Amino acid sequence: MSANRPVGVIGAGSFGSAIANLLAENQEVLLYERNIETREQLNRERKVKGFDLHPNIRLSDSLEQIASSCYLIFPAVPSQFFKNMIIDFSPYLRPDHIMIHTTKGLHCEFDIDKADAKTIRLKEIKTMSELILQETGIVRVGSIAGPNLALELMDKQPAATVVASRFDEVIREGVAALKSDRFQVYGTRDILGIELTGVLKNYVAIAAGAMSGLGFGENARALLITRGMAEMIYIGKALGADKRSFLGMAGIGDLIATCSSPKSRNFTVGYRIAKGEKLEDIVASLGEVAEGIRTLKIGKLIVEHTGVNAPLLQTIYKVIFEGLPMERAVKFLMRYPVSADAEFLSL
Amino acid sequence: MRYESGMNGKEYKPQDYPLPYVVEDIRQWPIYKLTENKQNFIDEVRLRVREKLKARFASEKSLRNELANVLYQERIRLTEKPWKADPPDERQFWNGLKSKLIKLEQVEDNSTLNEEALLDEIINRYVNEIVGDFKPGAFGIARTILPQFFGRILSAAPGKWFKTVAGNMRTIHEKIPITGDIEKIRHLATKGTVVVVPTHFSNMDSIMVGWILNEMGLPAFTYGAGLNLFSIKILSHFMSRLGAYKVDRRKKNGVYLETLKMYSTVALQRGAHSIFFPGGTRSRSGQIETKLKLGLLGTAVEAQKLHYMNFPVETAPKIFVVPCIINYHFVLEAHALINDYLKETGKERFYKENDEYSTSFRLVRFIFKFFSASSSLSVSFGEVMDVLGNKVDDEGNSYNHLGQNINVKNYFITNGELKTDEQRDAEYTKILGERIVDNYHRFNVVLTSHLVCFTFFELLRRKYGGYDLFTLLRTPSDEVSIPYAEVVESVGRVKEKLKEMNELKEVLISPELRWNVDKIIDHGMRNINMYHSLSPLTKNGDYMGSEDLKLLYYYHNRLEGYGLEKAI
Repeated sequence: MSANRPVGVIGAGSFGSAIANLLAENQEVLLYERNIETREQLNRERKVKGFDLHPNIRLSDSLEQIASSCYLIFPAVPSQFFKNMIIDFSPYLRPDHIMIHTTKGLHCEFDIDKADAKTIRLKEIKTMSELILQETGIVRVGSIAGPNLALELMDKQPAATVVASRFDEVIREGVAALKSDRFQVYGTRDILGIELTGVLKNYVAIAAGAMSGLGFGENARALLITRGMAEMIYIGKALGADKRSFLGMAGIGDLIATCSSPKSRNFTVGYRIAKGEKLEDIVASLGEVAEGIRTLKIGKLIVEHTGVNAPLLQTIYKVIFEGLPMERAVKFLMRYPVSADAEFLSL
Repeated sequence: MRYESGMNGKEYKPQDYPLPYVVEDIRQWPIYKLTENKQNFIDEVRLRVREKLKARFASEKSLRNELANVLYQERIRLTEKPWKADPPDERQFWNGLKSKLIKLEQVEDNSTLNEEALLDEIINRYVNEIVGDFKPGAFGIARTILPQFFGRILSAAPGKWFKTVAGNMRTIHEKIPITGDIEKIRHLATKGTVVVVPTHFSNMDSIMVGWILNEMGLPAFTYGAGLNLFSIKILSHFMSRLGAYKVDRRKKNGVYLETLKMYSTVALQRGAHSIFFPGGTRSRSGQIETKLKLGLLGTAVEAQKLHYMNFPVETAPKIFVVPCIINYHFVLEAHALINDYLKETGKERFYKENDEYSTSFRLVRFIFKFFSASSSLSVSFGEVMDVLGNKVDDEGNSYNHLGQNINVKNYFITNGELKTDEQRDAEYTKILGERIVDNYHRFNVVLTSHLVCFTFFELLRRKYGGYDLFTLLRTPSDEVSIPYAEVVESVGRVKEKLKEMNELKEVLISPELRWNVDKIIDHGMRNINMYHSLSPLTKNGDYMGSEDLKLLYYYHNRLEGYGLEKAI
């Protein structure tokens, strides 16, 4: 682990701050925040959503400073801003930097609001690790994902995550920097699987929020989680990922957490839609980005491009963007023909 | 003859070859120095393999298990795959080792006999078997003989009786166009160590590459040659004196593979320019390699890392990797190769036909036709890269895909410290492999015969859409035909697509591809049919057909992977 050098975190949003707090238990942390107001407020109050910022954390306004001070860097920036951030960062980065991103989103080289599923190329849809490789000289890239609701991490509750990288070295560095008595860290080389499961669970979480908004209970939620995961595996498979990671901490683990918690932004979007609010209003009042909205749009393009059968994604898309009433959506899904149980295990 | 390669640097014309040696004094060549200190070199390899294996098998028991494992595999090899090239005392050696190993398990007091000593014995035997030599005398002879040999063949070709040897050499270079940044490769060979990684289609490759590199004025390269080739006396005599070391593909045990890799690593560390065939064996399908064997390639990464460990960054020697693509209009072993491939992929679905012929007669005929063909092949060098696959400039500085100047040492640094990590370096080797494969596709020179074979086979596939590949290949050849006019149209479209891709630097094309389609088809047919007794391409009046669909498929495969079928 980085004994002498601080670890860098990019983005002081709620997840960035939570990860910075975890890292700060083991070493000094340099936390980069682009927004002046946010940065100054944090410096002044040293609080995020009511929780204390660890004293080992220093705020930074310079990507250059992060690159020259840190070997290990954790970007925690929403997918829609990720590319601009990494391009700005790139001139300062070298092959001896290790970057482990925490973003559960995808980047598209095309405009997701105007794209036609038939003409898109899957190569133009990139995970954040692919984006880092494309835009920087860093080779040792990793990703973390897992049931990591930011507020519970800030509250110092026990949790676990998975560090994924094709380099064992990156996994080792990630584990050493993050591990603590209240945070378990698993490792895997399946970075694509980890990234995709982290992304795809977003839309299932919206569906879970919607179910909750309709007042449905635990049976319905369990049905949703189980079949949602199966659908994620099918989509992941179409994008070249193995099912294994979907059944682990970052897959089913994260799915259970986000689908059960009103603390998740994605869940909140679904919940308020079911309560009859308009999407624009919800997005405006959330203040922060719900990755699930983007995931739905990109996911729809992917399933239509590849021909994967994804009734849940298609239906929740119609509810969110096309005004399909929730009651009809539920009816449609419940009448959907089903096959053998746990059939995805033989994929 | 020059291909549009889009690369900078001085261009050499056929009459410029052979180029003057970049290092004139043979005694200054790394390979000469390496063999001058041969015993010292062997000792270093031995010691370092031993240390490595001792670390891997730390306990006596695990080392003993490994020794038993090696012995077991070697005894199987001895009975199942004995070769003429094996030394006469082979059986004796392994039997002796067996009794020692048994004794070791019975005796309590291991003061004189221990696992390490046995390991040493095995390593010693392997190193001495692998080690090559370099004799300036033999090199001088080969240098005189080879052009004469090529010259003779050429002058035996009709209409070339009165050419002088020098004139013939010129003809050879007109027939074997060399493309790539030759001057840069020459310059970098004086600044660091060059590793040439060619595609592998034919047994001709190693001779061809060795000869071409010599014509380019580079110091002799070392390369691994199959042990079986050493059973041919005259070949063995020269190869073992021209820097070739022996690789035995039957031996797959860990001790042998480590010894072989260490041999290559130490040779690279001592600056010996090397040739690796990263595809491992010849391409069976005729397709350009897409998956590489990373074992020997990994030694380039390893040697570079060790340079950074042993030298300050400013003086650490650099290793440069240069992909090389050899393209033949026809391949000597095409028939056997494609049969191997179909047997492998089709399993029992494919009925192999017997094709027996006199090999030596075929060889002579091949060489004769090869050099009398109007344009038999092309040799193309890709981008010069560092061991991570980054491009390097004329002075050997690395630049990543974004054009940022890169210090290669940084790839081996973790937390500010240079660290050894086999798993990391194996991943780096994969990245290098991907860059090499990418170069193979982009610097592949499309010849007329490839274009015509590809298009014609794809047309057949389309016409017989209901057939699977194996059924199609078994169809009697007199039943398949396509109207010539249709072939002309499709070849024209694929050609245009290739020209577009050439503009985008996705592939290289031979100058003949700028001709009109009739001429292209004629040229392609003449070249490919020159060698094979059953013609892959035939033309009867208004129709085109094939006498050998498997061969047609083999040559078609050369353009597989470019998505050209959509252009038809």
